[in-house]
Formats: sequence, structure tokens, C-alpha cells
Amino acid sequence: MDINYQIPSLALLWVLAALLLVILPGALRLPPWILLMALACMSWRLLIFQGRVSYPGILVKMVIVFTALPLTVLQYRAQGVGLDAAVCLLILGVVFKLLEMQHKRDIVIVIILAYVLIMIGFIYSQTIPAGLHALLSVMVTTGALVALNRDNARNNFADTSLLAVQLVLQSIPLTLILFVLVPRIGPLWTMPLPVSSTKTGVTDEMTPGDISSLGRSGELAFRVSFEGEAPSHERLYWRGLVLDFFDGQTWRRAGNTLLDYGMIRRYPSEFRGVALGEPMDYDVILEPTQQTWVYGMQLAAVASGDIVQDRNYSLHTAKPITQRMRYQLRSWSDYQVDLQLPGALRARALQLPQNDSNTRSAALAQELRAASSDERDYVNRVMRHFREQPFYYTLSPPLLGESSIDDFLFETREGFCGHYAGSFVYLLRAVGIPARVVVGYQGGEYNPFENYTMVYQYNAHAWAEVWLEGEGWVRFDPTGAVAPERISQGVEAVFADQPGFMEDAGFSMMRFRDTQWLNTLRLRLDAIDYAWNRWVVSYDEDLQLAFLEEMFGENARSYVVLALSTSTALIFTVAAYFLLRGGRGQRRDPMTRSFLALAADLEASGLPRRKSEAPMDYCARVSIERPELASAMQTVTRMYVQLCYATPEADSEQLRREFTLALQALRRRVLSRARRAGLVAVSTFSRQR
Amino acid sequence: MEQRIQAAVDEVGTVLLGKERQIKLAMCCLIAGGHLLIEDMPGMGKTTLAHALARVFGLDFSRIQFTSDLLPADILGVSIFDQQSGRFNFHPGPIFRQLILADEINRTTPKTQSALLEAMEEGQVSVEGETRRLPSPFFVIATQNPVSLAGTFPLPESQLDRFLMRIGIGYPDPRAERQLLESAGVRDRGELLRQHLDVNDLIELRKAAAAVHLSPQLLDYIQRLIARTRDSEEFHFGLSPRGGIAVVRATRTWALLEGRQHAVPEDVQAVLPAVVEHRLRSGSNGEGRAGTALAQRLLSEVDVF
Repeated sequence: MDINYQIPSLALLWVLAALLLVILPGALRLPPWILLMALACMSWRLLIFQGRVSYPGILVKMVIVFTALPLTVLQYRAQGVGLDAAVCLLILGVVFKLLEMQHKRDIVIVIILAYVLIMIGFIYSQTIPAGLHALLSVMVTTGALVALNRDNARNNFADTSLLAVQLVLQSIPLTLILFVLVPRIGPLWTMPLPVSSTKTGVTDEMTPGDISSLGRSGELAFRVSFEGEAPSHERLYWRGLVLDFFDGQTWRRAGNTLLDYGMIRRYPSEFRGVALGEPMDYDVILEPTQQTWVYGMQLAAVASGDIVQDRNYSLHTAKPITQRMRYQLRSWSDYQVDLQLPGALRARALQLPQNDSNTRSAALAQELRAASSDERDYVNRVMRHFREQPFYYTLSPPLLGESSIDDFLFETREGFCGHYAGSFVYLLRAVGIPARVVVGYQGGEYNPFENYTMVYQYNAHAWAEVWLEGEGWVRFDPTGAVAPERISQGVEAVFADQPGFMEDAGFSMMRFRDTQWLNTLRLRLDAIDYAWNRWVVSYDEDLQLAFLEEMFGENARSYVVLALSTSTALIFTVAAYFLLRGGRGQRRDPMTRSFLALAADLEASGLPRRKSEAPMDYCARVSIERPELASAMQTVTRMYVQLCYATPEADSEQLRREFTLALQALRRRVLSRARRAGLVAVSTFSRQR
Repeated sequence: MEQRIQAAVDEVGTVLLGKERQIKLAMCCLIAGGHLLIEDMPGMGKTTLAHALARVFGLDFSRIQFTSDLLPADILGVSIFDQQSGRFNFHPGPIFRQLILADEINRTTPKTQSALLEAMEEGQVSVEGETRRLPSPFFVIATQNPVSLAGTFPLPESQLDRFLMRIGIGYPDPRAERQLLESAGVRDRGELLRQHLDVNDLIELRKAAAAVHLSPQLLDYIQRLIARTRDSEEFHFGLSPRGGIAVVRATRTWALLEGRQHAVPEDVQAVLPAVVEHRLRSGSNGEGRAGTALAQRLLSEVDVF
């Protein structure tokens, strides 16, 4: 190794830039002291480069490493061994390496680790900005590689970056082919991803006030694309959970719903959902919620995705959803659910709080029930009560007291979906009609550019389901009775001017939905993001197979594997051939080939020809080293020079023959000598043993 | 003829001790009809070599010492008004000789350098609107000090290109040095040199050199060498076609001096450093001059076959 080797200054700057670029986006995830350490190491390296400080001594390095390690362990002790701790250690390792980077080998290691860090970034985020950032990082890191291996004269910033960009761009077609064609193999192991503590989306409790906080958020909840035409806005009820236990203040899930998983198939058909009407197929991409349930329209059949359905037709996953999740469902435009209600379920759907203090509400229920002919008529009367009495739909209702239903129905009369759904169900249960609260989302914004519907957090909603004899569970939405435009046009239309609406959204493009071109831009951007998620991020084995079958017909996979492996083998063979042959083996004439064969034999016996050694010089050297071969070698060389370099008149058939004979004789002598030498070496070796 | 050349080489060798290779390269250059640039430190025998060559070839010789105040007219000549005839008479300058020794050419200004270099290229000079032919053969042996020395105007690449070869002389080996020191003081050995060749010999040799055979394999080799200078990042720029032609000319003449009617790769390797070094510049250091190592590296990296 060249001890005078100096890392090219440009390469160093490129490496530092690349590391900064790679580490920074992760900085939000990392503990701040790691970022500080990384920045400190980089600045130190810069100072070394400027000659202001020297490389750290062994003691300093020891101290740094042995403080950083326990710190990391302390930091991540709570979480245990996981991705975060590993990434943290890797970053520390890379920035420490900067401090002892003196040889080319060291900087190559750092560059390779930078590539690894870029890949790790994808575990955390797979959005388009993350992809662009990774592309930029790859370019800069490649720039470092280029700067490292370039001659100083051409090592200026513009040239190097141009070459790096060219290299990366040239690799894109190959990347695309590999992305599309290379068989996807499921992961051999999975890394436990950190579960974020901030859960989003609808919760499994409803205390009036909860859903309102969702109304303040402009974040995306999920996106849906329908196979055919999307249903109209008022039919878009995205069921999440069924809340059937009421303690006087809060609605919860009753009993152990886990036990209900999978039981649904064992019920006879009259206890199950029956699909009627037209099927609708749709495809949902859910943003991470950190929770274990997903959303779909009523009476959903799971077409794909790791989803189970419980007794209440809610959809659940086995693990919290920490990354975007894609699943396909089929629902029907009309359905009947649970024509027969088992006793246990009926009891659940009639539960009322013990020590119920909502006496006025109970009295109202009895009064209305007495006036109505049957259960359906009663339900309609309750709806009419909401519609005709002065109820107001607002996101910032006044607080409710101990008897929350009474307070709402008779005192404040201001509330949002949760208030209406809760009190509606209460009024039904009070007269012995099974009813329950359902939470989820209602509505969505249609994006015409990619033909899908966007559902935001502010679309969160609560409504009621009532069990009626002969009809099963039927959806009623008392909010619709109070504020019909909430259901038909969406929450934005109702609340756009209310101060509470999207209070937490900060600066959001959502605020500009009235400006035509900005709104178009917002929809466009979301459409791009959607397409990216649908076709790139969630491109898995199934999607690949479907795509390939569309392209190549059946047996696509075996064709593709065959084509891929053959072409790879072919490319490598051709490349290897040209690399090994030096790419110009064909240009040599037969005499030169024979002469080179002689040289190869001589090389085997310890007299290699230097590349620059011309025949006569070589001959002279061989003659000195091997006097016994001198005359033969000189004859052969003289004839070779005659044949190859002299005037054409000197070239004759006879000379060629003589040359061939003399050369073969010489080669035999060289070879036999070499073999004898080899035998001697072997016998010496065996004697020694 | 071969013996006479060898005798001429030996004759020059009596004044420039132990430098047979350099002498032979210089003669090769003259026979090939190219101009020669000798570059070395002061006092290494540049002038001695040029002087001795002129004597053994029996050429009409003049020496121009280039100084920083030398003007083009000092080289080319001037017209002087003759009172008696009432006309201007042209008084030719020292350039109208067969062999010019341009001593320390890089000490003069670019203007004067150009006057000489134009004459070298065209074989004629234009003085006061009148074109005058230079004698034939016309050779220039220029000497220059290394550019790093004070008071030098480095020749630009375009003018360096006009010299077929650039050679250095180098320190004598210990044995030759001893001999030199023993005979120190006998300054006028140069005057005693005998003439071995004449102008007709030169013309004959030049014809013979043109007839030297270059086989396709050899031309392949030369092309590979040239291509290497153009492809590799080691070189700031590649060899020009004129440079390529120069390699071929020198190779032919060298083969002739070696007594062969055909050229072999050894001939190329013998002349290549002298022919290409001043035409190349190292890629890794844009400012620096080409080092000797550059041509050697070129040779060692290109396969003969």
C-alpha cells in the first residue's frame, strides 16, 4: 500500500456531503446526541482536512467508542434489540470511521456503508419524497466514489457530478427491469418495526368530544378506488368498530370481541349477512394507524389481505398497522344482516348503564313508544324528534354533566355525530329495541385524476345500527336528520367556516380548496402519491405475477425466470470473455499466437515476458537467463521477426514451416524442463515431509 | 555506409563521452530530416554535441546565441542602404546556413522564437516582403535550459511540436566523468573532429530510410501506443497525427541506423521517448511538463503484440 496516499480532497468533501444527506432525514428518529456526535465527527474530519487538527490518537478513539456504546445501550434498553438500536450503532460506526480514514480502503468502506444507510432509510419511509431523497443520496455517494477514483486533473466538481449523475441515470433502465422482473421472495425473517405511540384514526371508545378532535385533523385516513363507478357520497359509510357498551359517559366495545373472530362462518345463514344487489369491488390503501382494525363498507367480503372479520362484521388485523396497508374488499349495494339475533347479542344490544340517571330521556322514550304503532314507526319518530326539535350540529359543543343523555337531549342540544348517535341508541335501548353505535368514516373526496376517493380524518363519523324484526341490522344516522348536508356533501361543506374545523392541520393545502388551481394541484399531488403507493410500494409477488401474466400470458413466471437467468449468464459470459481475452485476441496473426504460446511456456518455467518487451529484447533476456536455450531461441526469434516485421519478400511458406517446427521443438524443450523442475520440486517437498 | 555512420557516432563520442545513445538519437533525427531540441541543465554538453554533429556531417554551420534582447532581424538579416549603388542590399542573417545551432532558445522572447520556428517549418523566410529560400538541407539544433530555471520563456506546445525529437543528455557515468576530468583543459578537441559524412550521404540515407519496411503488426503496435495516449486519463491530451508521423519517421531511420531494412518494435521503443515526450503532458498535473516517466509508462503499459 502506498503510504503517501492522500485521499483526494474532493472525494472527502463528497463523502461528507453524502453522509450528511443520508443521516439527516433519520435525525428526527434518532436521539439528538447521536446527531450531535455525527456532526462533531464530520467537523473534526473537516478540520483534519484543513490541517488544523491531527487524527485522534488511539486513546481518544478508545474513549469515544467506549462512551458511545454504553450510551446507545442505555438509550435503547427499554426497546430491546431492534432496528433503531442497530441503525444507531451503524451510524456511530460510520462517523467514527471518518476519524481514522486515511487510506483508500477506509473511504471505500465509508462509501459502501453510506449506500447501506440509504437502503435502511427505505425501511422507515417509502414515500415519493423518500424515494427522491434516496436517488439524490445515491447520486452524491456515487459522486464520492467517482471523485475517489478519478485522476486529479479531471477531478473538478462539475465533471464529477456529471459523471455520477450519468452513472445513476444509466442504471435506471436496468433497475426498472430488475424491479419488474426479478422474482419476489417473501422475507426470510421480519424485523420488529417500532410501534409508534401516537395512534391515529378512530378509537375504540367514544366519549362525546373524541371524534371532534379528529375533525380538527386534515390528515389522510385512507384511499379507496372502486372497480366501477364510486357510490354516491351519502352511501359511503366506512365501518370501523361497533361500540355496544355504554357506562353513562362512554361507549365501548362489549365483551371479549377476540372470541368473536372467525365464529361468523359457523352460524347458520339466517344468523349471517346475506348479500343482495350489485357487488362492488374496491381496493383500500390505509395509512398507518398503529391500531388493529381496518375500515370497509357494510357486509364486506375480504378479497385479499391479512384480515379477519368478527361477529359484528368489523375487520381486524393480527398486528397493529405500522405501515401503509393495502387490501381488497367486496361489498354489496344491498344486504341483510343477522335476520335472527342470538340471545347473547340481543342482551348486548340492549345494555344500559346501571344506576341510570337519564330519567327524562327514558320518559321521553316511553312517551314516543306509546304513541307509535310498531318498532319502525318508533325509530322514525325518534329521527323526527331530532329533526324537528332545535338541535344544532357543531364541532365545539358545551360540556355535558353526569346525566349526559339528559343534558344533551334537553339542555344543550348542541353536538356532533357522537352525541346524536349515542343518544339515539340510548332512546332505542330504553324501549327494548336492540341498537348499537358504529364508529368509522363517512364520505370522502373524489380524486378524478386517478379515479379514487380520499378519506380524511375529519371524515370520522359515528352512527347507529338498529335491529328490526325481519330486516336485521339497519343503519340509521341521526346526524343526517339534524344536518343532512353533512351526509350528502361532506363535513367540509358544513364546517368550513367553523373555527374548530381543522384547527390542528396547520398550514395545509386543504385551506385553499376554494382556489381552483391550488385545489387541482392538491388533487394532482395526491394522485401521484396514490399511484406510487399502488404500483411501486405495494408491488409484491401477486401484483408481479398478475402483471407478468398480462404481459406474457400464462406460465409467465417460468418464462421470465428463464429469460432472466439466460440473459444474465449471457451478459456475464460475454463480459468475462472480453475482459479475459483483453478484447483483441482476434487481431493477432497465427505466428504471433505461436510466439506468445512460447512466451507462456517460458513464463511457466519462470521467465515471464513483460508486456512491453519486444521479441528481440525478450530473446536476449532469455538467452542470458537460459544459455542452453539461447541458440534455439535466437533462431526462432529471428524467424519470427522475419515473418512479422520484415518485407513481404522474406515471407515464404518454407520459412513459416521452419518457424513452426523450430518453435515446437523449443516449446517441447522448455516444457520438459519445466516439468522436470516441477517434479524436482515435488520430490523435494515429499522428502521434506 | 553503416560503418561510416558508426565511425561518425564514435567520432562524436570522443567529445561527448559515454553518451552513445544520445548521439545516435541526434543523428537519427538529423537523418530523418527533423529538427532537434536538446534540453538539459547548463554545462551538460548540449553545445558540444551540436557542434560535433555539424563537423562530422561537414555542414555549413552557424551558431546563434539566443538572448533576451535578440530580435528577429538579428537572425533573418536586414537590408542596408548602399550609398554607392543607391539601393538596398540584403545582408542575410545567420539563419541562411545548413545547420543552425540555436543556443538557449528559450531565453529569448516569443517574438524571436517565432521567427526561427517559422523558418524551421516552412524552409523559407520572409524578410521585408520578399520570400527567400533557405539552403537545403536545413537543420536546427536548438538547446534549451529546463523551464524551471530563471529567465526562460517556455516554448508553447505548438512550437515544441516542430521538433522531431527532444533529448536530454544527463550526467556522465563515473568512468566517463573521470576521463573527462583527466583531459580537462584540452578545450579545442572539437576543432580536431574529422568529417565522416557529407550532404550527399545525407540525402542517400534519407532515401534509404524512406524505403524501410513497416509491417502491419508494427503499425498496429504504433497505433496502439498512439491510441493509449488519447484514451488514458494519464495524459492531458493525446498524440497528434503529426506526432504519429514523427514516430514513424524516427522509427524508420533508427531501423536503418541499426542496419535493418525493416523496423521492429525495439526500434519504436528506442525512439519513442525522444519523439513523444515533448508532445505529451501528464494528465494528473495540468501545469507540469511531461516527465521522462510518462513515455516509459506508455511503453510499459501497451502490449507489443
